[in-house]
Amino acid sequence: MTAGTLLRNARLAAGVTQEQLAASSKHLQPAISRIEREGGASFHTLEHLLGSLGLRVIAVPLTRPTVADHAIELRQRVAAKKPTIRALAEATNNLVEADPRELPLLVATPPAPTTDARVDAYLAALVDHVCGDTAPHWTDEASRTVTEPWILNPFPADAALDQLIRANTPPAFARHGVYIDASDLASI
Amino acid sequence: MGKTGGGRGTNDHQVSGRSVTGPTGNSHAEADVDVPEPSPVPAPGPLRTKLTRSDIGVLLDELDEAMTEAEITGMIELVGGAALALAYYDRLGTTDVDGAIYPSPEIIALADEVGARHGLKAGWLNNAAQGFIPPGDTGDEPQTVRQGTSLTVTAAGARTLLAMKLRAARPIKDADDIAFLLRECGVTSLEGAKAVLEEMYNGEHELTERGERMVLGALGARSITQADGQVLQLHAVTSLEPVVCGKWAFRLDRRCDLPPDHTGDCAGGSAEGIAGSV
Repeated sequence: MTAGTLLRNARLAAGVTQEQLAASSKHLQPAISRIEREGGASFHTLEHLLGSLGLRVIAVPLTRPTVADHAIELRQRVAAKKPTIRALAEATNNLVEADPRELPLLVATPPAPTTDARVDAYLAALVDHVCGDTAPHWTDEASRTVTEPWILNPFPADAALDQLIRANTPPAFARHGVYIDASDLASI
Repeated sequence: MGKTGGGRGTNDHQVSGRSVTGPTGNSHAEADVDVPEPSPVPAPGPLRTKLTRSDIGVLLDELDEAMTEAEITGMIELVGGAALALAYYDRLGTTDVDGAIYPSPEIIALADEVGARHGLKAGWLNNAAQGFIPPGDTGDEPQTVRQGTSLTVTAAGARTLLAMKLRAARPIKDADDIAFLLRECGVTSLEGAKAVLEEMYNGEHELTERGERMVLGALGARSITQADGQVLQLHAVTSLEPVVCGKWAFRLDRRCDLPPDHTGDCAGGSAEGIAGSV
């Protein structure tokens, strides 16, 4: 990940425009744009810009991709109009299998919006599901719940299968408007 | 597979792929020092979470080499996604490689060492699914997919894989595999799928309601995108035998619309009447 990707992801997750970040950080908007695009920034500059978003740069030992990492890949897939189901399944396996002691670090950074509301809702639901009561606050944001139910049914014409999947959806997913059979969430 | 380690390692000023800097910290001070550009992806980074068919092949080859070095011989009978990817179709990535492993502790320990070199989590090769493999001699012969110096790798037979998928019947994870395997096994009806599950597990497991819906859906036309981007077009299955069913019969989709538990053949239930109807 480049400094630019890190900054762009953090800014989008905070819902802040480049102009707003420029105003709060005293950096010029074109400079922010260049960093996000090309990735080059001194550590001091990056630390300052992220600090303006309320974030601190820390180094932590991680053995797995974070949910923010998955969101970056998913955002690219959405932009390229590629299917997202497999990438969501990978994110699911990754978090379901994670060591509970590592999990809070994997979900702490809010994922940037992917521009697909259903994908955003899925990621928030997944984090709610695996973290339970200790889920981070960003999962509660209104933009991370879909009002039109999204039922992950490989045979969408089959209404009976829809019902079976809805009945076997974990509550954390249902809260976000996403319906997936619990068997699809297990690591085996 | 990505390269592991970094740098060219041929220069005295380099240690483990890292440039050695002078007291000033200025690595460009000496013109003859070969200073590598910083890697855009620091290593070691987060673990990789998906494996393609070629990834698995490379890993199994290296495992074979490691076993030869350690003077261990053994075998792995693959099941699940890895078996499908190596022996049946270029399935999209799996996150681990499951199978029956003999001898398992030694092979898994070596596999973890091999995987670590490629940024894989420990347990990428595991026998967690072993308890789900149909027991006893099912008559469904595995096929050899790799014969190394010390390691033989087989993939479970299609009926075994289908039975395991039908037992699990996870909507998203298993839909494509079930659609593929029904055709591979020549199963053309819900009853046929139930028979495979019953036969392979000696009647110990029945198809769930969810599994039934998935089989009915999977018998219809389906497009499966493979890892290489090629799309596998599966046509709707045409039953060649009369189906006596509880719920449906022969409409255009060959399902019965007579009352449940009717006696005799389903409406229109002759092979002649069915062939070519879809």
